Amino acid sequence: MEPLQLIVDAFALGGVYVLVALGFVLVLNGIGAVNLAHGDLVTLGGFIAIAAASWVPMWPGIVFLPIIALVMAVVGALLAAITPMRRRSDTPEEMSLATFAVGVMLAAALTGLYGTTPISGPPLVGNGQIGLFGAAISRQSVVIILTAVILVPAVHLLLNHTQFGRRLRAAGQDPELARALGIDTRRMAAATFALGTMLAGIAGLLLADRFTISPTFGLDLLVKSYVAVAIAGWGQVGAAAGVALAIALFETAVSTVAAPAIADAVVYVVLLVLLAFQPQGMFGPAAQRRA
Amino acid sequence: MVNAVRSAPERPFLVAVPPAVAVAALLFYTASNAHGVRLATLAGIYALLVIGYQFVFGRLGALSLAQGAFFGLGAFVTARLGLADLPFLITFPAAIALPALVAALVVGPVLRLQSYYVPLVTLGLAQMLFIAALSSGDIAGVPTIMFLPGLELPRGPAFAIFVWVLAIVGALIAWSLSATHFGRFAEVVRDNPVAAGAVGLDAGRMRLQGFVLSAAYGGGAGALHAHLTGVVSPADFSLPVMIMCLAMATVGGRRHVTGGIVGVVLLNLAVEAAGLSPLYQPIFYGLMVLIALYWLPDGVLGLLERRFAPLSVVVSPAPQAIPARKAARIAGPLLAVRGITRRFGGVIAVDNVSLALHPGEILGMIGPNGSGKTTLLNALSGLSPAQTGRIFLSGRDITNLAPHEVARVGLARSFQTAQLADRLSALDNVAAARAALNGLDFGAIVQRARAETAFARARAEAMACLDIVNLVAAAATPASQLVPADRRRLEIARALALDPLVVAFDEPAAGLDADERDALAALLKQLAARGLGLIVVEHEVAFLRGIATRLACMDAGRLIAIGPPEIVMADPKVAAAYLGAGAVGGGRIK
Repeated sequence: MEPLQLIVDAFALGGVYVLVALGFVLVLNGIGAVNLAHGDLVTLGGFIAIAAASWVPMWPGIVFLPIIALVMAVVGALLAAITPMRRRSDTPEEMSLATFAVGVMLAAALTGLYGTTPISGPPLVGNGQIGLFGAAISRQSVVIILTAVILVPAVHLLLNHTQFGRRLRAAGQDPELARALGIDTRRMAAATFALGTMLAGIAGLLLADRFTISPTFGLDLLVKSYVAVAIAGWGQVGAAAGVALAIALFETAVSTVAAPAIADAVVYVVLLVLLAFQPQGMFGPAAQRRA
Repeated sequence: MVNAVRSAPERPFLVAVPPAVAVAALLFYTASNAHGVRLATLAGIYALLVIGYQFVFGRLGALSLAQGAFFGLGAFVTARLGLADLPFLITFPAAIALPALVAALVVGPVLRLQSYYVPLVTLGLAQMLFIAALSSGDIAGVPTIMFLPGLELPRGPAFAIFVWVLAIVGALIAWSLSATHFGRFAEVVRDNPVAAGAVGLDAGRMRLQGFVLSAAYGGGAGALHAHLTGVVSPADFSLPVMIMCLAMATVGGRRHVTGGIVGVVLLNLAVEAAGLSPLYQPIFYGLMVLIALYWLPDGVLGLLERRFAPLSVVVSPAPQAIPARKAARIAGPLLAVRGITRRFGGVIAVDNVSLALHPGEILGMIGPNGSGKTTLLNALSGLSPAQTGRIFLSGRDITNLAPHEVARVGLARSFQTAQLADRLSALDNVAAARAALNGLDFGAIVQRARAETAFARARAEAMACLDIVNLVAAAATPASQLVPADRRRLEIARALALDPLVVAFDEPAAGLDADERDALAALLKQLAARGLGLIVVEHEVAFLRGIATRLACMDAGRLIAIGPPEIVMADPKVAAAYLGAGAVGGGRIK
């Protein structure tokens, strides 16, 4: 493959990982617990795209983006309703356990419907290529990168420069204080879940378009975004996105010379070493879990 | 006085009867079933898997997601060594030892960290082992699905009995452990990791111990599974085993050893009766986890416990004085703090603070919100260690000790909001600190009587501590049901149980009424009169004036004044700090 195409593809994969990690860290900050269903929500988004494309095969994949965003936001709100966050006594472990159960159920259901062989979704804007510096570049990859480049600052604006975003962060950082200030923390948790799941679904659509998707990918995607968050520093939104991008670039680089599994193994070993020697992550924790 | 005190985490009724009923039901069902023996054998194997998992998940409350992978690893080792014609007496111990080794070496160091890394590290390990199993076929030229050669173990009922004997032995070991120190300490670690540090318990080490044990059980179960089915495939490593294990543990009862057996039998029978295909079993198990979390948070056994086995009643132990600390006390200050600094990112929360504390002294710490008082206490107690400078306790350098080590060498503390193990009785919150000083005793598994005697003594000594803070009447009350003032006092009793040289209090008078404040002031003076050194962080200057021998004022991380109360209060710098004329406060972490 042409080097330039490879680089663009690496950044396209990076764009997907960034969106996955962003949704993951949002939910983490919003509910103070790890959403272990996050990877399976990504694959769910991808399979919704595939299902939609089979109903209306003429439509380009990009048309499904707002539809998937909407459907996945509803899925996220439902997920928030069934994870046991309604009782204040629930520990983060119990919340994570509930999301793990949901994730396994999703993966099993998708496996029942589609099997485990990786498949591709509808092309976003047709399979054409565009010329760039004399090289032919897949239009898909460019659209994925553009989508990520638009969405990431949009999420940043939403969180840091809107009243809704401030309430959301307040509810996640100190639920008791937020409740005292009249913020409905349960509703905020549901909104966080909806937003995070939406991002997961969009990432799934993009992943299915340019690359392939299988129900078994969920776990892998979850571990990657979890690793990105741990390396970046617990709860650091921007740094997590940066590390997710770095993981994608590293993975693509390694897979040109060796099996992709080697890259996964290296990332995991790096994580273990880092946690053993620099447990705060590279950029320190942003979210302090309540004692 | 007679108090209802929980004598042991589990009562014999709950340990024996429900699993016996469950196993009887299983036998009844299997007797009428064509492949009943196989079903019964599987149940025994899963029981071993789940009982092992309870060490880390149920008892310590850590969500490990590697138990399925350890099961797969045990099966894999059995198959590999079995193909090399090694006998069961070698393959079985190897299948137990390798997962335990992996758990200790790969995951162990990381388990000392915050518990939210546990799912990540264990999930990553599971993923790595799964990938390794998938690719091992290509690498070594061995098919990924291996059919075991002739098995030396008998098949049929004899194997079923063998498996169940192992499961029962496994359950007995687990029950012995939970009924001794490990179980009581685990309750503190699970309930409140900060409280664990404060009583001198090394939560990370306990998590490692529980994790290694669970890996050993998981590996053993996997080995037996390989012998039963004769097939080992990468699927054995994957999530279906993990979610099944979680469902069985939560449905049966996470906090009870035999909950594993009950959950295994119930779910096994349900899956069998419904004839669920393996493809859809994970959905069923996931649903069971959610249902259990919602309606049966403590599982079937938790329900039975509330219904049929209320707390056992024992006479509260007679108070027994704590033997005096043997450590030689050197001349000079009890506590010497030399130029410590603690930063959070760009914020300097504690900036080059030095102070000394002498026996019998009460040092009051004042300062505006965010001036670094709590951070200073956190640095002293090892919760967020100082980055520069040194801290000496009776001449010993404690700068870089972990919270549980600081507690053990004699610097105890209380917290702004009391950090207690809420499910434990007031007495056991204190007794845990006494027992922790003596360390964890794994010999107790075989010598129950010795462990019981040791814990009974810890309780008697804990009663003496409760007596000092006037909380004997509430000895049997779970910490969660105490009013805030009593929770404060319980923290003080717990601190005293550590036989400390220095006690640091973080806003002990906040939220107390006038009478309670007077009682607290009298208690603090009484402690100082015994020769302890006290540091009292407090907003109420009036409260401190009555008791403090010296006052210290912090502002923006720096110590701006220290000395006799009237002089510090008259210091213009102190007034400026409070009126906001001085620098704006630094980072505040609580």
